[in-house]
Amino acid sequence: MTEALEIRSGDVRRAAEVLLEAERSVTARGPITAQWPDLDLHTAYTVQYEALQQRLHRGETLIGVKLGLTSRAKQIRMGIDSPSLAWLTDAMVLPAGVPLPREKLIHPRAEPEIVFVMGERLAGPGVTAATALAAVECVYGGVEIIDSRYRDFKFTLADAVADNSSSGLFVLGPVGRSPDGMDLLHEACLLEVDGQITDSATGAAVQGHPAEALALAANSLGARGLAIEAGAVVLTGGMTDAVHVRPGARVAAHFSTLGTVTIAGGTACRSST
Amino acid sequence: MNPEVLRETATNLIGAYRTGKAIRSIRQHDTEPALPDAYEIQREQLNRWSADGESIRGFKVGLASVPAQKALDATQPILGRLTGRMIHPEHQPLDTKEFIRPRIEPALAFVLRDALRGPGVNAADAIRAVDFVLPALEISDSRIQDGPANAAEMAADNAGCGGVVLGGHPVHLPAADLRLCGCVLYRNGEVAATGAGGMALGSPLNALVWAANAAPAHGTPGSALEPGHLVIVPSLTTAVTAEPGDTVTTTIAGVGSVTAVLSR
Repeated sequence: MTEALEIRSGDVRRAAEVLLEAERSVTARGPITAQWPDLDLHTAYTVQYEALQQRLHRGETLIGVKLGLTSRAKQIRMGIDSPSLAWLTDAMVLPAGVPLPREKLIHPRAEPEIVFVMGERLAGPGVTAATALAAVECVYGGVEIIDSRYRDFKFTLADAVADNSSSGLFVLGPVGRSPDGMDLLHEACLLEVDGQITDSATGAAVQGHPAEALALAANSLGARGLAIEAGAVVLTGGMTDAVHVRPGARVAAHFSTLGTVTIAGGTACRSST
Repeated sequence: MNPEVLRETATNLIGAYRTGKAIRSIRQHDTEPALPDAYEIQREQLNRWSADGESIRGFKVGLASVPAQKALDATQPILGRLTGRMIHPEHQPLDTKEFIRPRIEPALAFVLRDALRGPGVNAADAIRAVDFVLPALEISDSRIQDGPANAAEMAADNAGCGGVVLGGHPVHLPAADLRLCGCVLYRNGEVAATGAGGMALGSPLNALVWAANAAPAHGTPGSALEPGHLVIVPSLTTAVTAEPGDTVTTTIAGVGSVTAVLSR
């Protein structure tokens, strides 16, 4: 069992391997902080970056970044003042209309997001919401399918960051728009699960405005000597709470001006943990 | 429940408005009112307000969203009646002492040009009958300690009606996408909640249709939606508690904004 895969404090490479193995074998495990109790946030990002290098080494292509914890209420609970960051590769793209490949997911949840495609490279420090938005070429609605490698989504912030912020898959919406003239504060998403409207939110739920989230992300990456490249896809963080996507379920996210994204829950193929 | 008990419950609730003290429960002698009893209790209060010279100015559709319904184990909305004293202009200080446990949330206010008399009212009828839409803030309140335990208790307590602050800039129905319009609620300048119009029964218009069909089922007075009536549809976002000194604003895309100022 994956549980037997040991992690030693300070072994970044091993921690990254173990998390990627949990993902490959579609098996949930306990938090790595159980074996590495003093894993701090900075080192967790090193684990995350090491896992990215291993993904690239096995042939995946880096296509962008995803932001997490963009709700101020969640940040206060977690004791941070900026979104968490993680990497997107081409292996995480789910084409529109394709049911969830449940054989590759442990316990998928869906959350609607505002998605940016960058026209220009963005690197902190000094990035503001205005300069961040000026670098965005196109705005989409999207649905991120998050999936944690940790049993029952139980983890500390450092665990989650090491696990690429519960990355899974994402689906891009049908309508791309120039940010010029868009009211992203009021761009709303109505979330429908099996025909029932269960939640809704607007871009204001994302760090006050999705461009604020993008600016904070660019500044955090800049402090690590990294940048958001031209052409990158940026998932700006869940607008609503994530919802479970059960086999056979249908989840739809209806955006004010960015169209509708529909996710088919797919067919159960194995007992998930 | 026998008529005597219903009247007694209505008397207790009216007493709560006067004293500012919530009653412990709607339950009387270990009996929980069923929904029809609850609407009888609501009607009895309304009769007494009418006798005191208050007039019905419209309706509120309570529990219009799935989360709100689930919280009270309900499967449909609850109708409440708005009288003249409940309707307030924006930016004028509101006295929180008029309320017991006020909470504020964004709402859409339909103002009717034509009557809508159910049963059988559909969306097309409702669209034809609407004169204009106003942005609104709904102040919900409860005359029951700790709030209603279920939908019937809420119905008995006039669907938790407290007050309505109406914005002053009307929009016409075709100008706004009431289903997908984004709505942001600010409390003292901070984003407190966000949502979309469709939280209310898939579209606020569906809530208007529901009210038109539900009103006649609950008898007179206030058995139909008449010309000039307001129909308030809250549930677009979660509510925030209203404290003395707070300033609460909502902005609704395509509809406008409205601000409530709570006096210290």
